[in-house]
Amino acid sequence: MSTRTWSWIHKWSSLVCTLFMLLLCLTGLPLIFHEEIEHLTGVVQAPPMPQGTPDASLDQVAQAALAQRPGEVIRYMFWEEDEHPHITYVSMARSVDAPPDENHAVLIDSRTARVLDEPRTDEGFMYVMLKLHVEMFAGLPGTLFLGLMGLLMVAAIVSGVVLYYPFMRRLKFGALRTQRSARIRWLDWHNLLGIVTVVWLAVVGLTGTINTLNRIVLGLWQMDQMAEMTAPYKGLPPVTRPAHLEASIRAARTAVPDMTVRLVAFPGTMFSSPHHYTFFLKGSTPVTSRLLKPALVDAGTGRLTDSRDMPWYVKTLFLSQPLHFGDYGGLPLKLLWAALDLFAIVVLGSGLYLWLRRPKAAGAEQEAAMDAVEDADPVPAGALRRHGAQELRS
Amino acid sequence: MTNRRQHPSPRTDHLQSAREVFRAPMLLGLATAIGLVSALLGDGVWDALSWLTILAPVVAVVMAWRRRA
Repeated sequence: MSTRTWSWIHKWSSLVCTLFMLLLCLTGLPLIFHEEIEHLTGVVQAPPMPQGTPDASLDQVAQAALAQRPGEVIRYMFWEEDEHPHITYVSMARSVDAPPDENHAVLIDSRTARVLDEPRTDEGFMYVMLKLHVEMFAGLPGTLFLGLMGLLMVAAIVSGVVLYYPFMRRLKFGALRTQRSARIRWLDWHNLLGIVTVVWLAVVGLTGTINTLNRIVLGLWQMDQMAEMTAPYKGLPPVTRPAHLEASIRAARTAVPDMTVRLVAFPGTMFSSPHHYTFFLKGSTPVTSRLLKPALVDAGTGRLTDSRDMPWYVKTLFLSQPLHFGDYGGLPLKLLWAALDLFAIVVLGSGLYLWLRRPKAAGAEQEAAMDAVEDADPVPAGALRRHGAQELRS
Repeated sequence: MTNRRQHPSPRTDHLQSAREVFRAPMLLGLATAIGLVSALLGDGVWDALSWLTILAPVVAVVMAWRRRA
């Protein structure tokens, strides 16, 4: 492809996605540190008790939640032992088939089955940041739209790398000409910060796009593996009075002894079948702690129905989460994530500036390239002409 | 270009090949990629390796700023 074509791709892919990418970079910045921010803003913690205090029965925990919000049902329970030890998060709703967003959280001490807190989950700064980042308050269409913008950004990155070459043939790596016009100064920053963040931004962009497909991917899994595992239950009436929660979690633990339960989806919810508790278990390494493994337990009998590794497309989704969040290498990695995110903001901003201040009448980025190189040195401009003269001037 | 004496010129003395233009970016990209994967592989040493390698692009920017013309 000619340089002109690549310029066209770079210009338009960037122009369409830049404002959305700026939104994502800005809202993503606090989200990198959500765990630290939650701690600072005093999210509830389980009171200290002697080491090794055993957990209460899960049935007691469920009872406590149901008593706290009478008339509602439990849809999910989950645990974040690393971040919030000894706390069982119970996600409740008015009914099992209420909208997926409905989440009335009850935090329960796993050891005493006492209710610790009932935090609002749909307000506050971090909630707004998350909603803007994930869906711009536009639901699934918003999410998918942002995924598409992510793909455009990848196109902008690829074309940007190709264009880096003609711009830099006469310049050393890292050249920052600060004594020149504002255009040249910002061009140099754009090129430097753009080229050093290529791999990181491409990975974060692509994994972000994969994350936007999470509902679709999990829907696929339900129609595929989940349907296979629950085939014998097809047509049976749904379990109306699920019981045996503690027995069920033990069955799941026995089936997958080397992993710990991260989440349980109750019968009839999005991540389960009408007849099962689905326990999602995690391993102990950075990779296996993301690759959740489901164990389906018959909600009527408390016996294991099946437990299989997730198919490749769900594993891809699970692995793309840490690579997007940057939450898998401690605080130093988060700080680097933030630094590269700031670089990306400058790349986006300078790119926009370079377009707004493009030479009049030229109409093509090409001219800008010529202008920049010529400004640097008359020789490479000549070289550029020799290499791509016809297509540049066309 | 009055400060040429303190700072080396940002220009090269010859027209660079693609290999020359992309040498530093390739190394930094490789470092980043190693870092992104290593923290996934384990904790401790693997995390430390990821911090060092992903720090590389940040250091490159700081060095470029110190050498600005």
